[in-house]
Amino acid sequence: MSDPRPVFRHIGRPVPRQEDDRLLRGYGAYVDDLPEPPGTLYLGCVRSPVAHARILSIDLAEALQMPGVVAGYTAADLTPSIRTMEPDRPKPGYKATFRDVMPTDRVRYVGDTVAVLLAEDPYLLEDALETVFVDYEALPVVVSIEDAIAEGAAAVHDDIEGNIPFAGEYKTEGFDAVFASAHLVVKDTFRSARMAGVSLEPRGVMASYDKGKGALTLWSSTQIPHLLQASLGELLDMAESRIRVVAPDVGGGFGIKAHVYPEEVIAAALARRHGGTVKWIGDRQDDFVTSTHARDYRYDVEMALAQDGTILAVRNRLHVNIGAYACFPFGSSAEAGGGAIYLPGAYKFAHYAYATHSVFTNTAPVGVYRGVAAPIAHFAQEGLIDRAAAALGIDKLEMRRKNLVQPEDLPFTNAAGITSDTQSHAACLEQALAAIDYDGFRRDHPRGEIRDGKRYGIGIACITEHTGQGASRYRTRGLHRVPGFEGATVRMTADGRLVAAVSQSTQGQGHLTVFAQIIAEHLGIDPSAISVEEGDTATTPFGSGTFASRAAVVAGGAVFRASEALAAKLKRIAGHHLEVAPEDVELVDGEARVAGSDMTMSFRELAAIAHSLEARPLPDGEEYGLESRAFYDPPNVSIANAVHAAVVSVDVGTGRVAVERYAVAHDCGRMINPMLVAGQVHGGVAQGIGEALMEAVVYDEDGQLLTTQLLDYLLPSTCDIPDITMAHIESETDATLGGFKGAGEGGVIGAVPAVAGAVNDALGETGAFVNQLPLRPETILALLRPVAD
Amino acid sequence: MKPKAFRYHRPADKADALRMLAEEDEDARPLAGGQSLVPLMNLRFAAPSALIDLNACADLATITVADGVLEIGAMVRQREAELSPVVIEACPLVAEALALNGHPATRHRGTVGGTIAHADPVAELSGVAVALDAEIVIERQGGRRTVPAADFFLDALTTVVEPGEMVTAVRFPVLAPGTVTAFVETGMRGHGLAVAGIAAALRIAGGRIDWVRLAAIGVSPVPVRLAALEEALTGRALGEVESAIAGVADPLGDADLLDNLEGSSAYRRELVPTLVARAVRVAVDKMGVAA
Repeated sequence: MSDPRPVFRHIGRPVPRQEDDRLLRGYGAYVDDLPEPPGTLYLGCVRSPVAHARILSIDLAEALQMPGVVAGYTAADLTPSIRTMEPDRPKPGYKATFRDVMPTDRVRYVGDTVAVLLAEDPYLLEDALETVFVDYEALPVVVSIEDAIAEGAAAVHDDIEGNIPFAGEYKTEGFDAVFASAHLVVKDTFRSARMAGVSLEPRGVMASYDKGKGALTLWSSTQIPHLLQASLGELLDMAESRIRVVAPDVGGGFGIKAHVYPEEVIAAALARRHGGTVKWIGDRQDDFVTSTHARDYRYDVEMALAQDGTILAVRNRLHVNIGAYACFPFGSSAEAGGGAIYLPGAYKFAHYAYATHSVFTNTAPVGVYRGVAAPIAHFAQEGLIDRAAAALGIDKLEMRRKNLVQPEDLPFTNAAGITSDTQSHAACLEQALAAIDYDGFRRDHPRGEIRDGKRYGIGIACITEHTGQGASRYRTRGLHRVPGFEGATVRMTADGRLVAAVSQSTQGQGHLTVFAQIIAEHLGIDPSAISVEEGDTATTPFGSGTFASRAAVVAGGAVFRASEALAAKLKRIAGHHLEVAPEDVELVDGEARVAGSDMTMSFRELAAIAHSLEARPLPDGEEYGLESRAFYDPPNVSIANAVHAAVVSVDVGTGRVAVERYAVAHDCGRMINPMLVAGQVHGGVAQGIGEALMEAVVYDEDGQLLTTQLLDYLLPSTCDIPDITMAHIESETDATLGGFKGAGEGGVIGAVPAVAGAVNDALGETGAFVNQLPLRPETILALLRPVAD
Repeated sequence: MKPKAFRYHRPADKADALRMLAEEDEDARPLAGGQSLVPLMNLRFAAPSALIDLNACADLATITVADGVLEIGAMVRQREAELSPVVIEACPLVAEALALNGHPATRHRGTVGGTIAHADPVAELSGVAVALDAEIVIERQGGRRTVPAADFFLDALTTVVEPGEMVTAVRFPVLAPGTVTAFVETGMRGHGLAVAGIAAALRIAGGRIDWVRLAAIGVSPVPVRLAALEEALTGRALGEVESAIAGVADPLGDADLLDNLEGSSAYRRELVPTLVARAVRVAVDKMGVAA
């Protein structure tokens, strides 16, 4: 990259979101708000009420007689016309996985779709769904990881032996000898809850088929319009050129909507079959039952240490409950693979070994969710450091300072083989400690003190966030169905205004604002005057989609590159007419200006020339039009980092944990918009506090889902989230265009271990450490009991 | 989440409503604030044949004090009762309990009669009713009965109200001068549904607890009057409160305890003495303010 660093005018400013005005005024249009073409039919799904059973018969006769019902299909009717989804193609170490959008032979979880109805009215549709009779023959059910991997356990898929579709192993050379020679080994089993993503807007889809053109348009609340388009083409045997996918306004996704769902495919297939429009809108219950769940890990981790607290080696045995099916496009291994490589994180121990496994069970499919496996990897790692500190009699902070990757270690390749050129753990740690007033806390709260019925604790988590993963990274991880690159088109219209189309889709992150800032930086125009479009496969270049903290880095890079090229062309045209070299032209305030002179040409003039709308010609060899398209594939992965600090109170009478204070020192490289970075961190911390303290999807031993409403699945409210103090450090990486790293997931990744660590600290001299999320009051009260008594 | 079809009536006053209830079939339900019934209908856990919408019945939305009784009409909004100077003067525990019920937005729609008739095990006001021996007024066309709160709640979401009847008012005793009250609860969240809560009212004379009323919500399908703890605390000095509570081996007696995702029955059993001690302390602390 070029040095010295340029001074930025638009990148790095807290530009207000251009999205907010229309959304706050209620002009947003989500799938369910879109105008329905005449004759739109509503799709309803008959869901399996049992976790594992053979389908003996399905009787739609009564439903088909109900008022408003137009058609009904069983899996046997529909599935033969839809190809089987193949989230994993066979490759060494990975078994092929398959999913029919409607299973014909047997159901594998409560929520599997066995039949569908089409009706003219959504109310009548629900009446009719209640009349469908399905005869099932129960099969043995496996719900937990332990159930599924037990000797002789029932197979969820007959072709997957032992219910393990993916297993991976890794060990650094010399690991065993180092591990065996350690002064101390601490170990524990760490468990997450199973989680739900709970976006404000549940999933929804509307599919319209134009019989004349043989073309399908599908509006979906999705994070991956281009991959959905490709998937529909494959599953419905249609040319992608005949499929347009549009993600309109999308009310949150968090990864849950980064999967292709059966309802999307079924709606498209039925729109084609009926030659019209088919609409399915999920409600909150559908969302809990059928949207991908998340987490559900068992980490068995051992940490080997020297007497002085140096971490020598870590062994990680990981199992991930991935539910009944692997999901497209991430397949069976995304969580298990991620959980294995995230663990070394911020620490520089040299030896690492893992054995990781994905496990099928008779529960809803588990997919990617903000943070993927990282929050629990860090929960385990920071938890073991706390245990080791206690066992060795070394201060917890000292333990961390001793083992963090330091500036002099950079560029650093960690024990899992992940390399990064910039990390700022030590600086973040000191800033976070200052922001939370760590020393003041220790002064004010003597160890073991109970004040007003509460114990207090402070927790520190040093975390890394794997962001902006590119094509090479996804190939290394075996996720061959995730492309990894992104594209952008930046165009000046004939009237001299700027528009851009980006391969991403936004669920509220503020993409339009940050991409406009990058364009503005190169083109010299106020970001608010730039229109950015996303989410429509007909108008945007191909790309992977929005997930894994990649928009700013990967799509940002594509926007960066396309903007650079367009700016260069404008400078060439202006230089030609102003009779100076292109490099003497600056683009500032919507005009081209000769540096150090008062000679200018407005963008309007330049656009008119480029569109042949006035007498002056283009320079020789220059093409008409002002449109630049670029694709960007970053090198591998960019490691962002942060230190989170949380102060909690633990009510000794009820066991309830409350987060009292919170601070984050955060480093995502060069920030495009610090206000939006803060927003990402704040939201992530709130989700992490929910994950640490209360959120849990619960199945009973028969595979019945007990948490199907927000009454049962508790989300944190504003009353549970303290003010968050933030400090930013910008370690600019040379590895990505613009020096950007991602920031979408660090909030949740840090909050889980920080809150858990604070509870460990509050438990203090009881000697208890938490190892299972969420930290329910009842569990905490039990841990406190030896002291209370 | 679409309800089954139902008939809809909107009576103008109580008499009109009672007549419509009488004319409808036995699956008809009155609609008050709708903050629980409507979600239950959307989930199809409830499928009334008809709704008699009480929201236009102004004569069900009055608050009166007479003869030592605070009578709150069924359609008085929870938020109105919570902020009512009349309620706060006559029976502050009602206002304190309502302040913990749902959120301000739901309290602006939810009603006093609605929360009592819905009989959710975690409804705060039900605990107050049982603690203070409130009476529930139940009417049908041509008939009226009053039922002590202790007899009103049969099970979770189940009361003595029969088809054709509806709750029209709740009658709380006006608390004697010097009475101090508190409602304390705990739950998974900072503000949300309780796992357990305690309604407490007491009077102190000569440094000792002279009179005390206690009930627990959330621990059992119906509110539980904590008679053994009341007895143990009566006559005790303030310094003896904790030991008096600890001396009651089984404050919940033979109550049927809830055991669910929010907490086991053992946890609830453990919470009750803790929360009672807190409630007594919070109530006693108010004496300083009152004096």
